[in-house]
Amino acid sequence: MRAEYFVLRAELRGEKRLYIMAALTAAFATAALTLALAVGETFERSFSASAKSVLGGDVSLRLRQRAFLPEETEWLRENSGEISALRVAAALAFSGENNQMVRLKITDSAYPLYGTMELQNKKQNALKELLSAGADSDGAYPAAVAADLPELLGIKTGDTFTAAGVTFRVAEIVEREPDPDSRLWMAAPVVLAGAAAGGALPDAGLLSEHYIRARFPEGEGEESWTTRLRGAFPEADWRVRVAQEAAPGVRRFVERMRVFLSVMSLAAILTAGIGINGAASAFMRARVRAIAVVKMLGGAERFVVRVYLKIALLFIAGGAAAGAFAGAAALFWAAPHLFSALPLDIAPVWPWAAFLKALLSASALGAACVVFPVLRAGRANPLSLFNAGGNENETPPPVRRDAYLAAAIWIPLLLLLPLEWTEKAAAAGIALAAGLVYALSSACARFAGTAAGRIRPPVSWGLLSVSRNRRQTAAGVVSLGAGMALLVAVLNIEENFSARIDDTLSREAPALYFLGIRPEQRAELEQTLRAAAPQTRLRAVPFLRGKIKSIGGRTAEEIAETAPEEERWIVRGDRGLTWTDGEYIGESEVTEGELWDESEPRPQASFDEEAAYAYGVSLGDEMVLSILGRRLTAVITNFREIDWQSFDINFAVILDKRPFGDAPHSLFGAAFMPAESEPAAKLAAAREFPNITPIAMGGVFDIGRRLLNNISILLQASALFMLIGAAPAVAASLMDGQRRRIRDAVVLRLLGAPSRSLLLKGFAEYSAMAAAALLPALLFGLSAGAFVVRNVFELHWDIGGGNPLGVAAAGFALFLVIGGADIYRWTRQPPLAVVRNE
Amino acid sequence: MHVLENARLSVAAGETAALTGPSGAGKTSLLAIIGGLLRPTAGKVEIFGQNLGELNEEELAQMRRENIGVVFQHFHLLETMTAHENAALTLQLAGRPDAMDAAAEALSAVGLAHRMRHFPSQLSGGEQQRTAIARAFAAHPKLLLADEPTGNLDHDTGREVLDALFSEAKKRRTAMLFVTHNDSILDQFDSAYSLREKTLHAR
Repeated sequence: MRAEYFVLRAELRGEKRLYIMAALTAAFATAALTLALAVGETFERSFSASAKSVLGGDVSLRLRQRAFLPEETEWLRENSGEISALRVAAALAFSGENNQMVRLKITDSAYPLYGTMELQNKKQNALKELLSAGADSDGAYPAAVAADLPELLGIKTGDTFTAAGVTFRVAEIVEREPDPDSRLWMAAPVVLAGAAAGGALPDAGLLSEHYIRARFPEGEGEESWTTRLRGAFPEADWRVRVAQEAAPGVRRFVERMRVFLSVMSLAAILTAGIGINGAASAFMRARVRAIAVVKMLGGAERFVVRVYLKIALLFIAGGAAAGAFAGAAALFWAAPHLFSALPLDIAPVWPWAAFLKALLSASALGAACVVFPVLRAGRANPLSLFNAGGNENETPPPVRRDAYLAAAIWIPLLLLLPLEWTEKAAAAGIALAAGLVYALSSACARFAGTAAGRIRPPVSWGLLSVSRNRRQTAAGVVSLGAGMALLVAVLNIEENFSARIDDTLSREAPALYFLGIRPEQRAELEQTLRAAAPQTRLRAVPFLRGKIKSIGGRTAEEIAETAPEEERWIVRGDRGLTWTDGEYIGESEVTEGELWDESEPRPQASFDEEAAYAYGVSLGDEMVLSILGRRLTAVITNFREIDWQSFDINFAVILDKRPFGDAPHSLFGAAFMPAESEPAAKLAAAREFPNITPIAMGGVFDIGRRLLNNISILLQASALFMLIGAAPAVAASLMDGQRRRIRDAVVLRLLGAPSRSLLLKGFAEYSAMAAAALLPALLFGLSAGAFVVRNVFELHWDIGGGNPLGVAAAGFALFLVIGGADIYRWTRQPPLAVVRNE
Repeated sequence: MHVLENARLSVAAGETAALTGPSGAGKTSLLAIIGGLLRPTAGKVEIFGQNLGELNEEELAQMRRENIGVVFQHFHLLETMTAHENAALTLQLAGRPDAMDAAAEALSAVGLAHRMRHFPSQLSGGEQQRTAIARAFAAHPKLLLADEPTGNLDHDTGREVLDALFSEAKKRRTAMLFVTHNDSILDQFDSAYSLREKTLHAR
């Protein structure tokens, strides 16, 4: 132990640059991993703490197509600790010419059952008084509104505005809602008012949702209560959610973010592993003589390996610890940004579990990356010390080592990380891509060697050097290339998205959608719209809400369990339905069967082809629907291929008009008009028809663009982080071949090569390396972009503009900066020192 | 390829023996075999009554630690250690608690008491080689292998190093096998051998 410490202490006095690079590399990767794990950890904790306030109770029942019946409300009141009724609706609020979509929340004084509604007015009972108040003498109902609404409507506290035909007065300003709605179409400023205002609202339309939230009675749990509820109302078509099911959209969003960050950190760790291995190899190559001396003096191989492993682990674990600390600390900065849009009370605490898990994983992986170079150097033969100058063993390591390395990094990591198998497959795909990049880069480097034969010195010297050092070249390239490829892919996807939104979708999409049109209002609405925008074309289809209960004898729940995630939405909750006599089928095409089959006496349904394939549904299967509390059975007689991206009115299920045409329904309208006419038309419709909700596509596109922009910023930040994190890995990988390059430069100088030749050689060498990094990165980045745009989003892909090239230029510059520092070292190196130390 | 055949060499405690021969004759191989770094393809190597062929790598390392000192042509000091630490290295590897004191004593004996805290890069060639001699003798080895230790030094410095080697070897009764190309110093040795055409000849 004492001898080990003695040698270790002395070795730590020496050249540490390589291990500092390795430590930096480990730090970056560990920081990324810690943050990814900590995000998941923080969300879980915050979600558990806020689930009841987000849901609004121990349990929440929702009805869309109707209000709760008195007997239902009575049962819930009698069988719960406490209940609170809530109606949520979307409406256009306006004051004069100013207007804004708002989320109306009409509730009783029991609200909120959990959590706190924070108002600017801190007066006790302010909320209770507001919710139990009736209309003022001027007929306006007092409301608490989102802080930004008065400015959007050009009013101030005490002023009135109109929404859904009801006049509200701004009585209070909401600072924080316990149960905000994070759904896209509800992401609007809130207007909270008491039950009295609800009486003045139209009964139908307005995207209305009725909720009853309840506390469980004292001593009763979730299972027993929901069983009693099912027993009392076996046919009820409400959706029941308990606290752990609150905000599933938010849960999915955070889960995706966690998976994304995990995959990113996997990629970061891959590049880090290569960098650490490169640094350790270079360091150990430089210590071969010292090792031989120690062995000659009687130090056993095991002793040497122990000493150098400890040195390596000291730096790797030190870097990993610093990275884990930084990653955990970054959570406190990142969490408010990452979770800002979520209805959760995020109070990050030090993420110990993530910290320890990332620290241990990264240290173990770092150890796996250094163990081979150390073992190899441990075999240094003291024989080399005799008579000769102790030439260092610069034989390239066996190729098999790289396979060991990849396995050592990826297998434990994949098993360690809490990922789904599909995500593990994605990670394996990244590893495979990294392997391909490695092979491609090696091929580029080999090609540089071939090309050198046709080029004159000193450029050919540089190309030959790249070819000779192609193992190190490829390692550096993978480090940098992974970050670059990701950045190229992200930018390409973003460019394609923006192009599709700007050039295609916004031109083809309707300017306004209208929800809740009563059939008798259709003509009048069209007239109103034409008065404001003469070129208006209104298309309206029957609309009602229903829930698929079963298809082909399998319940919706059974289908949802086995169907792919992206196809589950159709059977998950209640959906919009329409019917047709065959005239209108939206932006879709019948691909199998007939719409409608004249020989079929039973009610018929038309179904989405993709969903049918995913659910294993065949023509002739029966679909059971629950519409307005009634069960209806229809036989599926055709499938349609639907273009969901057309933004036209589309339905997964279309029913045969004959048996359904008389069912009570509203109309769903889409109005096509020039974009500049949309504001006036929207306002005119809102003034005339309080029960109709107008939704402006421009606003939806804006929200979409904002979301895309936020996601894109996150992706770009991650890719840039990888790119910056790759810099020490690249430097460490390059240092692996640095001794050889310095020796070459010195020999050239001794033979009389001028500085200009050395600079040209260096420039040629690093340019060739940069090209070997950039070409595969561009190729893989653009391929990944094309795959995502075409196959995941099913949009038209094109190669895009200059952003990916900008990234390539940035990567080139990064390589040249690193190379410049290296070339500077060559030219400053005293030749004699190098030659004498040979 | 066989580089040595029928090599018989005997050096007693306190004796010095020179080994000469043209480049590539196998002098280094012979030193390496004696030091347990190379195993002969045939025959037996016996050092201090131990058959080296029967020892594993760990036992060979121990044998070197406890019985053999080496001085190289290129010094091979560890650049991250001071002269004092370099001299103490063998003793530290042997786990000797008095390693630093014994190293200080060995450095004093070669006239480097005042340079103990200096690193190799701060020492002259002669001082570096004397540090290497202190390292080799500090553990009181029974045998010292010297591989052209003056080959990298000028005449005067070489002379000083040679004196230091002979003086320490006599004082500590260490057997010394000294590889050299310099015939002018052979008369200082108790015996001399020449390695030619794979065979060892007494001179």
